[in-house]
Amino acid sequence: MKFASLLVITLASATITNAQPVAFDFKDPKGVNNIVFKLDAPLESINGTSNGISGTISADPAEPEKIAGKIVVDATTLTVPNPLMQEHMLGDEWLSTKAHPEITFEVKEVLNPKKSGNEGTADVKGAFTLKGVTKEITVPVKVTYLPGRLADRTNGKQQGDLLVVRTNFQINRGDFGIKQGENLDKVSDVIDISLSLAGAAAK
Amino acid sequence: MKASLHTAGLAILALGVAAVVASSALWFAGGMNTGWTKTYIEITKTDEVTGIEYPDKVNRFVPGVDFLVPAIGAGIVCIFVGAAILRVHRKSHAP
Repeated sequence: MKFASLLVITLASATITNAQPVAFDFKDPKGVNNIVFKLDAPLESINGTSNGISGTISADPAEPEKIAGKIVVDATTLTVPNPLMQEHMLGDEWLSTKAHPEITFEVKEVLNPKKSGNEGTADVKGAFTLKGVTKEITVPVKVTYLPGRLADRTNGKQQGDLLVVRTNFQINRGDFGIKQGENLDKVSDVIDISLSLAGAAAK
Repeated sequence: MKASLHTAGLAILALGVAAVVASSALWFAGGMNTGWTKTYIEITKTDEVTGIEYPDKVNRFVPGVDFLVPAIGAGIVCIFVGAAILRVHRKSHAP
């Protein structure tokens, strides 16, 4: 009996040690993955969204600190409800999306990982690139691992796992060359950003 | 010529009144939005499997103050111009 227990523990340890990271694809055909951004402004806050998100994150559920990968947002898919504001936002003076069509976040390091069941939190340090300017930032991330739930999203067509990633953080637009020190009376420098993403790893 | 001046004055006046009334009515019907004009609204939905909340866009014209103020301004200008034309016409017909 003791030998059997020892064998199970050893096998389990070996499985965890040798576990391979799984690549989760964040291109979501359902269009659920979204980024929400908000800037304060005198008349009303400017709220925009995008679901033009792609990228891959490699994660090992047994070792949450070993996450690597990159999330890419197609900057041309950022939208605000006012058409004139939309034109200005994507134009050369603000985001200049023709010259800089991608906003990216590349994971560099995972700090303070905490795991509870299928959920985990961590501070993720990475390279955030906006309008061609790259800065290292640290964002608080909440991760939920949903083993075997890909089938529920694909009506059983694909088997696999899901990884849900959520984060809220702030950046200053001036740090990324977006009208630094200008128009502060019209639009705040601080941009609140929320990301809610589900990545799929088909088996 | 004088009759057409009177007709033009009346038409411009009516156009101004119509612009003020129509833009105000549209703004009231759109929920008296005191923000910017919007061409879509967002309804928050929740994905059943992942629990992710996401905005679902619905095309809808919601006039804001950037629609209302210029429309009423243009309407008031039309009302003044129409009234001025009618006044000139009335004076030229005075006995």
